Amino acid sequence: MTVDWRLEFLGDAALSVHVLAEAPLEANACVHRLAERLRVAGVAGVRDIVPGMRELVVHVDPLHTDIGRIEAALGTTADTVGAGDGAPSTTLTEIPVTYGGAAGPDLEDVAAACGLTPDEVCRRHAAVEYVVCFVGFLPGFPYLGLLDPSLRLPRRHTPRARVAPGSVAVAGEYTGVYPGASPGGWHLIGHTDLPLFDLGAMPPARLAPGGRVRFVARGR
Amino acid sequence: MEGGGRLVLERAGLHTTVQDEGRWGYQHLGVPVGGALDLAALHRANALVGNMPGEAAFEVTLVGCTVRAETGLHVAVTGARFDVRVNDVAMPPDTALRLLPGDELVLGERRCGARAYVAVRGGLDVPVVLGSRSAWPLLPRRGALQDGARVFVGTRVVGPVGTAGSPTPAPVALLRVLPGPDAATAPGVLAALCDGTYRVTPAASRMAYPLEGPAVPLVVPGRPSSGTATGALQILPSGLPVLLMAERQTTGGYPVAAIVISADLTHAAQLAPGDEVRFTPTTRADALRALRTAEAPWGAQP
Repeated sequence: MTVDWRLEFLGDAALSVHVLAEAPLEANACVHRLAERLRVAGVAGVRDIVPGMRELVVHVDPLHTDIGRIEAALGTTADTVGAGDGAPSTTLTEIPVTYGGAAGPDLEDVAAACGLTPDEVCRRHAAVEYVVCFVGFLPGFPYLGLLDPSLRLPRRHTPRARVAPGSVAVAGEYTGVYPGASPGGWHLIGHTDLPLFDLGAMPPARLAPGGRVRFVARGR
Repeated sequence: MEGGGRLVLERAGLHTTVQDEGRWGYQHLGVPVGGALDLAALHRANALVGNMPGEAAFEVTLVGCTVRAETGLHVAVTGARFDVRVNDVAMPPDTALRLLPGDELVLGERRCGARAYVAVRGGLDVPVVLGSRSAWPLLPRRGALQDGARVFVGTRVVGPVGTAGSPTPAPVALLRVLPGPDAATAPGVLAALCDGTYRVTPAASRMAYPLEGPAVPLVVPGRPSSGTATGALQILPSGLPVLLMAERQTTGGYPVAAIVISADLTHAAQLAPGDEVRFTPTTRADALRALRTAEAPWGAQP
């Protein structure tokens, strides 16, 4: 069974394919399958293929490419993506985490807000195998989904001016890891020493969209 | 004179960076594209000195700079209109200029526009990172250049000096837009945006221009984050638009009411804080025609 999708122009230099599947992770899996097929197809004039949660944005060089041709190629490729196709990625990355304390200054508050003990928050956070739904905000920042529903909180009222690199954080239906120092509004529950973005490596980001992630507790 | 030269940026100004056409191919990993905000001006400057149009050059923002040649160089200045002098002699814009060792090129007072481009024959020879020589604020020593920065010049030339190029267009404060993906969910939002007169705020950067003016209510509850596009007019919860520029974050969750066409990003790049800007709807066919006309000397005809 193929999935339904809707194609939209995003200005004159990008197109967006919306996957219309209802379940978020199913829609997201279709986004990754479509991205993979487009990458393999190597459509001339495509400069970037950027997954989001339910959409795939394809950037086109408008000066040297007929965007109508890309539109047709996208439609043909999207038609081949099935809802039940196998997972495009088997890469599983284990991220060692130190939960709580100085490593995760918001753990106690998150536990209180969720009505759980801190230990239970850590257990539930580490119990799920996550999908890298998309990467954005900062180079190498993974939006890992979906977080256990009992751990979902809105962002902090006041974002921090500086979040330490390696901070493991939660907000909404995602958990993520700050690859570098930056301002941030997510709740910090732990820390990892695993570098997520390294310009000396190729690819520079350890986690790519569609990959799988598991957090491994190294204590508190 | 075929490159391999050196220069010193004696006075860097407010925000002078090295920019080419940007870092494409890594947005799925969260890496911003960056590159020259005014690509057409970059292309014109490079053409004047016989470079490939997308060669790395200086982008000079709002405040001028002083370049001292340590070897003989050919340079060209395009984009924002600054008083240009070589050793205190006034020079015309949009012209290839010859510098002898020790000569000083000064971008003095700014007359109009926001960003000038200084191309050097052979290209600026800073290291390529992820396929681009463009500045990257995250990297040590790859953000804005400091006074006294020494920059090497490459040997990548494709044509003679001073035969190609076209004049810098007059400033335009009316940007053509196409409807954004979220415009359909709120009828009238595009018309409201195009009715207003907006002003570029002092927070404007290479990432985005926050605008002030009439609020345009557009709230799309539960809109998931998705890939952004340069030229997108995102609507904040306050109803105020933000115009995304080349250094934009790769994904974002705010609704997009409209998207400035590629041909008019050259004009957007020349808006300074305090400048007024308005928007007007157009069609994709007109957008592509405008781009091909503006960049005719460098664009392949499909």
